[in-house]
Amino acid sequence: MPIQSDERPIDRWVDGLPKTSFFEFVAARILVPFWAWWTPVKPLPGGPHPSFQRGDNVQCMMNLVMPLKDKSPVGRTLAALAIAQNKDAIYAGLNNVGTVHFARFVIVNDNICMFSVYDGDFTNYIRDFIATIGSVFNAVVGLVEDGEKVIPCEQNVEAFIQWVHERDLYQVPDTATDFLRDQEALNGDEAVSPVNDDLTLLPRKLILQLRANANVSLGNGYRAYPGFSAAQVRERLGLGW
Amino acid sequence: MTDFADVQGNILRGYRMPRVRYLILEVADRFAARRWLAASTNGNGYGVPQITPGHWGANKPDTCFNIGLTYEGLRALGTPDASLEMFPNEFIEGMNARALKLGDVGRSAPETWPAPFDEPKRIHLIVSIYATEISQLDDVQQRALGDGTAWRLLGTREGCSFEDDIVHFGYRDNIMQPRFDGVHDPLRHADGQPMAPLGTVLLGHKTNLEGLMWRVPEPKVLGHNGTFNAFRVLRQDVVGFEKYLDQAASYLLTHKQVDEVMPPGDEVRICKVLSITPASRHAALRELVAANLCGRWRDGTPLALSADMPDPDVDQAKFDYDHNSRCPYGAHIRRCNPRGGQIVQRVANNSRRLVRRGVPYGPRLSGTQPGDGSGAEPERGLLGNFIGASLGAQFEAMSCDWLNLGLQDPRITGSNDPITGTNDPDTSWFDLPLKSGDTIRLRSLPEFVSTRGGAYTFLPSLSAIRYLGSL
Repeated sequence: MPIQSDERPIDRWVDGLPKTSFFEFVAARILVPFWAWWTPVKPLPGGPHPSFQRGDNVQCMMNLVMPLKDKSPVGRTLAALAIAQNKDAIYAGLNNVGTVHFARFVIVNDNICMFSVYDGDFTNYIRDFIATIGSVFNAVVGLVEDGEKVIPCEQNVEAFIQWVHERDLYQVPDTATDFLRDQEALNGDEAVSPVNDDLTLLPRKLILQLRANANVSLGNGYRAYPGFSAAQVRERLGLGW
Repeated sequence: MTDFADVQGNILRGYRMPRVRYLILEVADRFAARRWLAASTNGNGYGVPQITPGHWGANKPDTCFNIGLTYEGLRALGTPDASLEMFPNEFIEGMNARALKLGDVGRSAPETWPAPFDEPKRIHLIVSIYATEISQLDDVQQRALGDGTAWRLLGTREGCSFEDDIVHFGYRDNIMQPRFDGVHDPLRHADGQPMAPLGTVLLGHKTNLEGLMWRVPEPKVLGHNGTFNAFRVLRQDVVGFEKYLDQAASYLLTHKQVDEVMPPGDEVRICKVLSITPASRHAALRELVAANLCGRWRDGTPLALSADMPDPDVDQAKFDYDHNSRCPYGAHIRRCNPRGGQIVQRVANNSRRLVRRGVPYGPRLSGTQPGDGSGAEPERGLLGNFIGASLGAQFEAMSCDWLNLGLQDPRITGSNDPITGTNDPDTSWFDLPLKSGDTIRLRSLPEFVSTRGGAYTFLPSLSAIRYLGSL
């Protein structure tokens, strides 16, 4: 069965453009915005790719980037204090939820970021955290743009989980064909199968996606050893679980 | 105080009627379908069958009739967008889209489901009819379909209970269901588990996770006292299951620790209690393996109370999993509901409980011995309803992290449920515990249960049905 190609004459024209600094400058400021207008691209959803492989469902990465409301040193300080004041609650949450390997809070420019590694399903992970330390989420998310819509998280469980999911970074697959499949999946019922794997179109598609989705995770984390759950690690080390 | 006359009856009570038929329907005409819904709650004893409520007074009806609407069904009826947006994502996306979370892969994948489940967007309403006789099912079906102006019949599924609550695979079922605050008498049928808050099964009430409330779709009349159902058509490979028990028993007979698994002489008592003739060590070991895979002997005795042999005198419902429990960590019933036992997600004990309503379909396999494999076996399985106020927090959470990943206990993480899990013989395993604390690892479990269809439905209150009828 012939594979449908969405290559257009303009693709071939662009392929033929010289790769000089001038043309790169023009492409970034004129061609890419024009192309984004002409073929709009939706941001790909964040979080790990759905998988049934066991190894893919432990040590999953969450990369949450949340723009602060107050983009001043005062706003950043409030965020830092919110974490520091809740340190004990965070440890209690880690103990009671039991599926988290580690969680890090980082301030980058005007964003507070939460990076964590967890086991199992994302919604279960966030829901269990709401049930144990919802007040910490409320304290942090209250400082973030659009956060007031979903707090208190205990009363807005579904909306809160969706809000977090929308701010979790898209994890760009390591292989080009997987990225093209993700991109095609955005078309829902109208997605074509088999997916057009014409790699000459990859740069355009990636550029348009990164324009719509400026912050992404490259890959889904690289492990130095096979996946184990947090409880398996604790058990093997005799720490209790 | 909850008005149970406003709650659909199949949520809070089992009807104990042997025959069930499910009608899978598509809206044929939106306005006629709305009139049909209004008529189903108008109290008239003729025409459209009346929805069976949770409280029916002194006289139990001869037949029972309940409905569940899919998201597409709510849309087809013209439910306002503002209300539709308030339903949870998993319900909006539908069961097919959640296949990976549910373990519906390989031969369980939605792409392999037969009609009408191969066109999920056309499934709008699933009607459940409960009766004693087939003629009653036919009569209610005829009244429900009427002249066909409201609904188009896409397909049916029908099941029938076996004697003594036995289901395929030979286990006794229907032993217990969650008991709810304000519904059940805490002093009757105590099962050792805390009473479940009503929010476990009805929207708008306190849930088991302290302080957490599930979103109730508005207007309040639409969402309040409603709940969600995962309707599943689950094919059971009964012959394959019995063959596996044979293989496992033969393997154990040659194992050096077989006498620790089953002390010599126990086979006589096990076979006697389970009425197996002729009694043999192999036959008893088959039963012991079956008991460990499930967490109950096939007569219903929980291993948590009697791990060495079935005991007809124990209370089959009242037990817990303490540190000395000899119920395997990976046993089916322990995975589905770890009760008060230690689990990784401490906050989740008792929070993922579900009301289960299931009925077998297909002919019962006679005896426990597999056939010679020469003829094609008829399809057998379970028509299951897994009911809870949050599909995501209960049904999917249980399916994803507990049944198919084993995340709740590091000793089983990486294994699937031995009975219902999506097992691959090349990688599957199950640890059989011994009294000494050692385990014997059984391998090569095939997939005994595969999904043949299903849908997520919303079970609205009677007030909500009237509301939908008045749109």
